[in-house]
Amino acid sequence: MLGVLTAEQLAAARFPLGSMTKERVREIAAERGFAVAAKPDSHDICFIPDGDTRGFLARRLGSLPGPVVDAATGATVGEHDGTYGFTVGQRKGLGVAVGDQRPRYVLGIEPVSRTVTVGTADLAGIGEVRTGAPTWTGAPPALPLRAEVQLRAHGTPVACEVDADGDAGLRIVFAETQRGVAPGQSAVLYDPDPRRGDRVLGQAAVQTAS
Amino acid sequence: MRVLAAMSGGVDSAVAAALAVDAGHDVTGVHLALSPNRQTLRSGARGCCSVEDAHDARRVADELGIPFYVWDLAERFTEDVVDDFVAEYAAGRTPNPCLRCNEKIKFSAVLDRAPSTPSSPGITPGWPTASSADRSTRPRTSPTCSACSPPSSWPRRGSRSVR
Repeated sequence: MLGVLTAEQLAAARFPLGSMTKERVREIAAERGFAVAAKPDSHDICFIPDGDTRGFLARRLGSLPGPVVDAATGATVGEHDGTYGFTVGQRKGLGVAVGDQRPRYVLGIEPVSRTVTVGTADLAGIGEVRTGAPTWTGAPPALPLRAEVQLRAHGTPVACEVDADGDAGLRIVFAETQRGVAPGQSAVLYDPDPRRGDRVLGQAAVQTAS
Repeated sequence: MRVLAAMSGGVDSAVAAALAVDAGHDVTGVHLALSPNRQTLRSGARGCCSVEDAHDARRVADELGIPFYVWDLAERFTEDVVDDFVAEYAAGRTPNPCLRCNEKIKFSAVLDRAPSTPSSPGITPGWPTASSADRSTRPRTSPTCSACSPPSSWPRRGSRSVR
């Protein structure tokens, strides 16, 4: 969550909770008699309080029906009401019927032709991503760089090599194949340090995965 | 040090503000009102930034004996976070609105509006930050949805107007 911040912003920020656990935070709040001591954590997207992201987007964008196409055969295996209902890597709720019964994952989303491409797990793996311009939390590091990258909110960071790509972006090559890396998501880079704690280097938005 | 404590109305930012007071800082609490429909945005654990959350933040500020302000950043939040979220999905991408909010609202809006006095204040969002190798403490979600703008009597950096 801090990867998007600049060095100037971080220099002005203080984090009194440090590495405190949630349990300890609630204990302190209870000791002080704060009414919010047992208040539930907020989660999901704050401006979609019913949790129905697809419904929210449908109200904003309307019905934009199109085909769901199987990557291996090119066959149309389903229909959808809008590509905005899908995320690369998604498995559930695809509404597709394929004879071989193997699970399908979203491999790609093409909003102009309104095509959602799905495929089996063996086709869903990617070895690298290319990103837009990164934001660094300190001075830009020298490239190439060995680091760890986190690709989704609750994902486990994986080892990677980072290098400059094109005008301003990054090419991030993973040590292990990854699945479900959606364009638009942030690739957050860490400098791992088991003694002092991992340092957030910065982040960049994924543009393409391959 | 003068400190702005961004108070969402949740427990993390309440304790963060309390610890800043304990540390002897001159703390002012600020709550960011981000939703254009503030009455509708909380049902149980979902949503944030409702009037109820602003009240929760104010009660904590009162208990701490610190000044407290609500800053209305709803228009900016709608433009920079909600509309961007819709546009990204429309373009076939999967946005992360919480990161976008941190980048465009919580930190930048707070610092834009922070006093430009020589001893510029810190801000204290209610997050844990990882200081050990324990990955479970990495701030990965958005437990607080708060930001702030300064009391009207404070000088402001630049000429940006407060909505």
